[in-house]
Amino acid sequence: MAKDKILSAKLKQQEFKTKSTQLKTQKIAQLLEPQFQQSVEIDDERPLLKISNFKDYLPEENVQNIINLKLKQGPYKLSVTPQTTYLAGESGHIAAFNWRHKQLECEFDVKEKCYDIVSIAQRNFAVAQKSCIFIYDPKGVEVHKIRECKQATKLEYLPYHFLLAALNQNGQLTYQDITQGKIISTYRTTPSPLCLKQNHNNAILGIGDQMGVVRMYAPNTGTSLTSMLCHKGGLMSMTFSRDGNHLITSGSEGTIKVWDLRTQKLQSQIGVNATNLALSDKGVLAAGRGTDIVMWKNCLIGDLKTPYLRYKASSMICDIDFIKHEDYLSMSTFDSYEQTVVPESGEPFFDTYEQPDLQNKKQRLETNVKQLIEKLPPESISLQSYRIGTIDRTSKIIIEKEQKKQIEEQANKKIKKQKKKMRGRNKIGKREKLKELERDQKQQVKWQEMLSDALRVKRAEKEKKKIETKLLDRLEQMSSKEFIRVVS
Amino acid sequence: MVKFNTICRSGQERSTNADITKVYRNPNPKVHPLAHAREYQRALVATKVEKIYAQPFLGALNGHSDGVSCIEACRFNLSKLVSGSYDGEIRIWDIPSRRTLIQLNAHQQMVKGVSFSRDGMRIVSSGEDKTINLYDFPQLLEQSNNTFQDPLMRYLSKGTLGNVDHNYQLSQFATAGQVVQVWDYERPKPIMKFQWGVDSVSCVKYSPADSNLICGTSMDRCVILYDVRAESAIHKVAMLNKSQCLAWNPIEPLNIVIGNDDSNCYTYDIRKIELPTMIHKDHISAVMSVAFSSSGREFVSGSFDRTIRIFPFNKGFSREVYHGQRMQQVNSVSFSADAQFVYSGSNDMNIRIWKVNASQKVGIINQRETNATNYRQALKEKFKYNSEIKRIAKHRHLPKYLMNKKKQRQEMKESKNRKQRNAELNNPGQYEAPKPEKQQRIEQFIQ
Repeated sequence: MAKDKILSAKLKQQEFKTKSTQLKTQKIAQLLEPQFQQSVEIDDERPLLKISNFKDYLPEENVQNIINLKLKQGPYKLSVTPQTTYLAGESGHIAAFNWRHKQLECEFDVKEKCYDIVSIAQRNFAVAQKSCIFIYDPKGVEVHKIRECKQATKLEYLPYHFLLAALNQNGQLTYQDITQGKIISTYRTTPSPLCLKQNHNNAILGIGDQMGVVRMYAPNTGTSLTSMLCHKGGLMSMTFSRDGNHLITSGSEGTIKVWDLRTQKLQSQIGVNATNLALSDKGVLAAGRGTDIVMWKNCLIGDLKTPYLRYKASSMICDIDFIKHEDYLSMSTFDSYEQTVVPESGEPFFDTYEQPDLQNKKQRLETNVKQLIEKLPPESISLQSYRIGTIDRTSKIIIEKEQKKQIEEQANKKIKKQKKKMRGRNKIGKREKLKELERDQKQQVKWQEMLSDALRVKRAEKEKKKIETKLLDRLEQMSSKEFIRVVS
Repeated sequence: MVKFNTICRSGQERSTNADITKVYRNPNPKVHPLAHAREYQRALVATKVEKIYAQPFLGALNGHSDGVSCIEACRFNLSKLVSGSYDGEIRIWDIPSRRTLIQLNAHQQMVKGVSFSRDGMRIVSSGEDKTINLYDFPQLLEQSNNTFQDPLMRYLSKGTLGNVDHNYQLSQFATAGQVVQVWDYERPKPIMKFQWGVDSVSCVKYSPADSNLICGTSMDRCVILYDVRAESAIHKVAMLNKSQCLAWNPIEPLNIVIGNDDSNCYTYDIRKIELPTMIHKDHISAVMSVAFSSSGREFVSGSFDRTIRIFPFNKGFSREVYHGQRMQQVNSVSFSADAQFVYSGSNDMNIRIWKVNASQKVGIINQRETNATNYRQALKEKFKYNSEIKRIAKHRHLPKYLMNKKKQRQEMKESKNRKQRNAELNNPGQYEAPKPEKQQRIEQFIQ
């Protein structure tokens, strides 16, 4: 008992220390850090609705990053990082450029239909093309060709596990480890998937389908971990919040719903039709339909009644995304790429070790190595990611059972391998006979088990009947006597 | 008036290449996704990396032409070490350059004990030929070529001698042997003699706090405490096996550690010497020598089974094992004064230098590296009860003979426990529970 007291005291002390230092560092960080933010004041009393209202008052740097690029070849898919944007046009035009320094990194034509693009570790990017998935260098050189995922239409990248997830039109989901090139798992999800999004807090993928159901998937289990019926119509798009506690979905029947993932209940909804959704660091929700984008502030905390900003793009919107740690919203349309300023949407205080895009070259080289060393195993992906490293509170009996199972499985595996005995007579016929004998033995064992089970069930039933008959006899005997007693 | 903030990151780049790049931190968990899994992975990687970089053996001092019987590291100078061997030769080594500074033919027979004085000016050595030599260290260094240097003083003892230990404060030293004798520099005969019983005392050590207390281990399996002021022994405790060696804890000088022939080390509190406070079990053969680090938190023990083990002062099992293919029975061990290195002298005529922390880098470590190692250490501490990490951290490679012996011992222990349990279950009421193990090792306590 004395040992437990010491341990518990130590743990308490540790907890207290970590909490107090966290609070302190947060306070100090926000006081001492140079303000990345510049405050802007406008004389108008009207609420900010259009960027033209406050464009003149913005600092020069923000104005410079308002981009409108005219592009030609087909609707474009988008992937943005704090340094570069990657665009993939449907007819095969692929481009990557640094929006911060206004430099083109690479541009080429694939002459094939492109379905999706996503940025991968160390500034590479993956494009889901009609034939297979290709991975390209930052300079645009083709590095890998992934043949295993056939006709993938949606891609997602799990950065800490180095896993590329590809979703098929038929619902086949494959996870591939980029560092080794191995396929971790493939399985069928839903027959009609509409959208694929990642919960960054958990590394769990959410897939929405035409029945309005959202299902969560992890690489270990072949079936969905949970599923939520979100909409009456099909799920057009969805996003997860940064801390993994909220899910925002939009359905084809014309509603946007905010869900609390911890209780899996509806938090708020609004009757707005949206084909694209995007959520910023600080909780600004952008919903796009056609050429219009509507933005709400504090959508996770408050209600979605009054919109914060509106934006009209030059043509039909294909893809929208907020840029991490910046106040910009980027969108790709049928024939352009546009970027606007959305004030107070990005998190100004970033952590250098978490954002390789905001580091300089030497720091980035170090983080490349460290990320690989700290690559997480795909078995660790689960809905409750905070449970890793905590005490396992399941009872001892269950743990022992599981351990026994594991040992048995290993033993069985060993038995299956039969050594090839090459010394002496090496007749193939004899080996085949031995194999048949083994098979027969196994079958016999199986039949015996089944018989014994059946026998057990029969015996149990018999015993039951016996007990019942006994009880009935006793009741008869008792009831007559007691009746007499009660009456008299 | 509508007020809002926008993010501008233009002022972030450094002005010249010589400037340090600023690192921004945000402790908000929202910015750190999957924090638990990543931290666990980092702890796992840290333990594995520690094992990769665990290279404790630094070098060997060779030159003796017979087995090394006793060594002692100088307390005030980190680079000096004195060692005595079976053929009566004493060598003083310069450790960084791994070479002998002074070579002396001190005794006719085996050198039983060597000791530095507190200020490092004098060296005392006792031999099996019943003589004690007192050397002046600076004088030796001047005439380092002469191997037949005369000692400053030579004392002759009537009885046989054991090891020698120099007083921490005065110009006195104590020798073990047939009789425990306390000598002064100026007197040719011992100023005090202690005798309790007939048997000789093999090892004697002064207490680091009070130079009036001497503790000794004798051949009749006893540990005896003597008081110089009272000119007699205080009390003694008899154990089941004889003890070979002794060490006082320099930070908690009420505790001593003795190394026993039954391959255990026992920690005693001298105020209550009837029961050991701790039993340190990990060796397989008799413990030949024990030495405490200057931090008082760890001690090293060298044993007849050709290994050295580093024990924490309050735990029952060793933290670290060092063994070598060529290292034979370890006769004596010593900690360096800065508690970074361990020296072991063994029967194969070599003195080996080992690191105390096997994966620590030797040399100048800059600030960033120390920060990184401290972080990794904290991670390992946090996750040390996790089964995966514990398994990796606990793993040590042992030579085959040790593994076999260890397994044998475990089996014996398990069977003994099983028999006890069965006896208890099958003879209710008649069975006497065995005494706790600490009591088992003691035979009797004598005032």
